[in-house]
Amino acid sequence: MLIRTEGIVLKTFEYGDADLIATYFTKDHGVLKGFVKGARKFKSRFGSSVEPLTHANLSFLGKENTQLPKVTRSDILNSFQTLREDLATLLAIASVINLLIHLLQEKEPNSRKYDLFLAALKTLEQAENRDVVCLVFRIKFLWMAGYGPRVAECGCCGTRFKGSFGLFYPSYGSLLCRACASKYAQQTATRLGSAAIKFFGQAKSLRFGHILTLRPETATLIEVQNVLNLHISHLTGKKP
Amino acid sequence: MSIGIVENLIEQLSKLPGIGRKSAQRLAFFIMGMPEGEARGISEAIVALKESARFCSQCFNITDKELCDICSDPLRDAAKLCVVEEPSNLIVIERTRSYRGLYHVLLGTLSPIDGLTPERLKIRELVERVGRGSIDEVILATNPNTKGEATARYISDLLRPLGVHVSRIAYGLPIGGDIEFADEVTLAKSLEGRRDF
Repeated sequence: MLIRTEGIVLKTFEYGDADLIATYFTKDHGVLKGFVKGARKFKSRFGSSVEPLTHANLSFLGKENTQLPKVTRSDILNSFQTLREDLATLLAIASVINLLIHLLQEKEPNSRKYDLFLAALKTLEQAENRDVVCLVFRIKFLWMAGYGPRVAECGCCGTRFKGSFGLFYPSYGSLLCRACASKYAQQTATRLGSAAIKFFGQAKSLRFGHILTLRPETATLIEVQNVLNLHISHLTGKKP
Repeated sequence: MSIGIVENLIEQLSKLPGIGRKSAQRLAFFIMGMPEGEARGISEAIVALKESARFCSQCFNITDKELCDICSDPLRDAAKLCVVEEPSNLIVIERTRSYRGLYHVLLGTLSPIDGLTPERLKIRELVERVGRGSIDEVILATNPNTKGEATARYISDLLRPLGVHVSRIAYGLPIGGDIEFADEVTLAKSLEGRRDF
């Protein structure tokens, strides 16, 4: 089996003396793991092409249905080196990568999600506020995967949200109106102001190019981030 | 001789990294053919390592004493401190014979993708050591990959307020390699870091 595709390195782990096992998000085959022989040697032909976030043209070789094909070619298309050089950016991207690893199935192609991730990385390179881009990507990706948080209307009765704030219930993945919330008073909820609700709407609908023009207030960003982390934590079963 | 003895040795040897069952079998039969003194030497060296190896209380290199040979050598330059990830990195740098300062072994790296866990490394001990004031320069010699780079940046941010000179080992092409086969990131870094000739 020979697979030729393009992909982005999500993460790697060291194997043996000088090898790596790399997890890729590929355009045509979804998430694929590959064995990269000798990648940690200084004279390895793979060089820096197996570093996380590298966008590369790849070849995988292995038996049919093998779990771990060998990576035989990795030609860099974009190294995204500037993103790796900033610790704060890397930490923000880590939340994106962990979300991808949790919600993507191995060997299930999804070129729309792949294109979204690549667009996010390209936007991040030019962005000043990289936290906002990572936040927007997570919201867009969740909607694309069918797990988007509902903040425009009540998740129970569908009444459109009105007012200065709403209560987000992670167990519903949604805001609930007062009438519906009273039935579920025992559940924990998080406050979400109207500016944060508006930001969720913009993140879902705007193109990445327009996101750079958004200038949300820090308090709004923190609110969005808290709700998103709770929502993802409820979905994945992992602590935020 | 019971075949169980050989089988047991094969099983024990295959616990070592990079040793599969076939390699373990080859090693076991090689050991069987060795003079008794040499085989005993190997087994005694393993036992001695496990019984007396410990981390140096100052630099966390592996030693059998309170302070390792490097930390207790008065001829070393105590104003320079080289920070490495693992004791094996220290051995490689020592082999160059071009560095005469002291070391600090972190015993790992930070992994930004899996979440920062600085408390698992010897970073607090490094900051305390530098804070005592006898060090002029800290050389960050972590690996030139994402984890090593993130670790170096994290440490650099912690050390700068202490007024110490922080440097990073150079990036570039390996000697004996061919530019044609270098990837663009390595080549770009080597151009950025060029110096007068």
